[in-house]
Amino acid sequence: MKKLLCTVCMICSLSSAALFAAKEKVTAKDVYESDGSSLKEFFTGSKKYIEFDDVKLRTSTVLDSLKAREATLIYNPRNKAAGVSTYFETMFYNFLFDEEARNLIQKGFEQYKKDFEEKSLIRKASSKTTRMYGSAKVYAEFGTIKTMMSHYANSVFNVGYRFYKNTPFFVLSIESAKDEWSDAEEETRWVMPTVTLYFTLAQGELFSTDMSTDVLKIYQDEFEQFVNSDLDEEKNENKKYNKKDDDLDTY
Amino acid sequence: MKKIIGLIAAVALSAASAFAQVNVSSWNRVCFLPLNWNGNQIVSGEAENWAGTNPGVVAGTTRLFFTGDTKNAGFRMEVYTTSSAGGSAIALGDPNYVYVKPFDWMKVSLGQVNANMGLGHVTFGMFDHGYRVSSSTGDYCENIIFSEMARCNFDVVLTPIPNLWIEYGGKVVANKEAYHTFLNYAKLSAGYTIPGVGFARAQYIGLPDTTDKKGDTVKVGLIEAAFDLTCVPNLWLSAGVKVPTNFETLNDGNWKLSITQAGAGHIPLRAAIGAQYNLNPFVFHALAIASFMNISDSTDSDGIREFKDVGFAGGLGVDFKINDRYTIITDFRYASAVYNRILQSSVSDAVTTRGTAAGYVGLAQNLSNAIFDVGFQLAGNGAGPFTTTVEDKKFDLTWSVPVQITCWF
Repeated sequence: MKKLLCTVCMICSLSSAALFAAKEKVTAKDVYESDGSSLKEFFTGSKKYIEFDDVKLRTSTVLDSLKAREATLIYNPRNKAAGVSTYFETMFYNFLFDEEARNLIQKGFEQYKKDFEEKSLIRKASSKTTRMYGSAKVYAEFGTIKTMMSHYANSVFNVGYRFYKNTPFFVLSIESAKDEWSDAEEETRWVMPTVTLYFTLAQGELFSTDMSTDVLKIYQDEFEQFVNSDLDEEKNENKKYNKKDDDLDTY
Repeated sequence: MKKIIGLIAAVALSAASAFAQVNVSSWNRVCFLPLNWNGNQIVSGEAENWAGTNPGVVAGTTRLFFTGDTKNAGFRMEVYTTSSAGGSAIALGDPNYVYVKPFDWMKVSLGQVNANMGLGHVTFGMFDHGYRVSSSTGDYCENIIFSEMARCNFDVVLTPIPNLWIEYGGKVVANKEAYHTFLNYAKLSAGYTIPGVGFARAQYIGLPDTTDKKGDTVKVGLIEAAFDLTCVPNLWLSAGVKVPTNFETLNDGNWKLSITQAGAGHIPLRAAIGAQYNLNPFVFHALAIASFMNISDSTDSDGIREFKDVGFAGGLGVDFKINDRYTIITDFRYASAVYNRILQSSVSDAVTTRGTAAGYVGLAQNLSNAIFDVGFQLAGNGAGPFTTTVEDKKFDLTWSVPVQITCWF
């Protein structure tokens, strides 16, 4: 009985994090105010990234069919990395791209759109077409649930396309990599699997546009407003306090 | 048992309420050998894939990791199942410690902590996907480029400027003068990442005092240096050397120079190079190790063993990615007789005094939080499982069919 009770306690404590996971999007203000260690964040999830839009995409299943996902687009104003946050099979992933990688995604999508409209996409040779438009670096975070993402990896991703049941999809294929979480014992090798994100033309258009510098600048500016606002207040008070009495008389 | 489970539950619950970034993770692996020809008969076994030559006596590993982090403090805890008389038991793993960050550039850990900054392994093939036969595990690939010191009692990491770290960790030695803790059972290391080029690091590892041929106490240690080249796209190249500080001391014939506190065997002057090259859909792996100094089986007129021979070990592997889901894994290993002999605890050991070789071909199914492997493995000269006796070593070739599940959360 005690054993059962203890097990239930543990399950409850773990699942509570998932149950209370944030439903509302994280704003620039949330990110600015977050110190990464408040108790609230345990229940609501990390406030490291601004969640600025949603995008629909597909990921593969164990049986190699495609499953539709509602993914969130995220941006870290502190290091200017942007990307997508989604489930893949049973794990939750954040994939983050730097500016160079985002430029590759945009150029790749433009080329894909052109090839699509010209109907010049290659149906066979998916391993070749998966990396048709180039490769770049990606940073990935992952875990079983959104509030427990302790694992991370530096990998590369390929930009290209694949056909599924005669329908072409624009794809970002993030290659398998060693999990760099270093606290486990050395024999316990953790691995991030290959994850391929499938976009229809319309979904790819939205994703590509949202990854543009112009869109991300809006959220960067919003974040910096909070930073500057605090700095201005500090400067004003410093100036006021340290002013000489003579200067004050002139008011 | 109930108390232990209760304790785990209590930790999870209290952690959830006391810490901000609390994570519970799990890593599990069981390698089943339904068919294993040991040169004598076909047998079965099950174990972690690193269980050694007699896998039938253990049944894999299931592990839970608890971590709690704030910006300035945190903890790590690992609990895992292990075999014991009459069933399984719960044990504590390596990382069980608390830490603080008194400054942004300093982390102080106390408890049971692995001092492992810059750790350098070269692992592939059967190390991860099959049964780790001799010549694919331990001193053949783990720590081979740059060693860790496992289960230290203190560890201090400094990051004074970007890309530079300095680490000092060691073990408390009970009932001995403090210098044993801070010198003989400690390591000091430093590493620097050259942006866009690579990663260089060096360290000194203290070893227990030994005696020279006159019977005087002598201090010994091991100096290591390593470099990872990262500037060539798709290529990872890593090379390292390990140099004992006192060769003369080795001449006592007692095999005192070891870093068993780091979980490794006896280490002579050794150089290793590992490489991985990604050429989609292939990934090529290579490892070459040379032991430049070994101890001979005979002694001279003063009773001193001579240094002679060079031992070699190495491996080649190719992964072929069929698609996102399936990968074919291949791996071939070889270790010379001299190389194997240096790993034994004494020269008189009869075990593994011949060259060994092993090969593996398998199919890996890659799931989001698991890998399912089925393969076929050959091992020569007693390198495979179930070859614990010298008699078994008479058989030149053994084979097995490892079926392995690794999953994590």
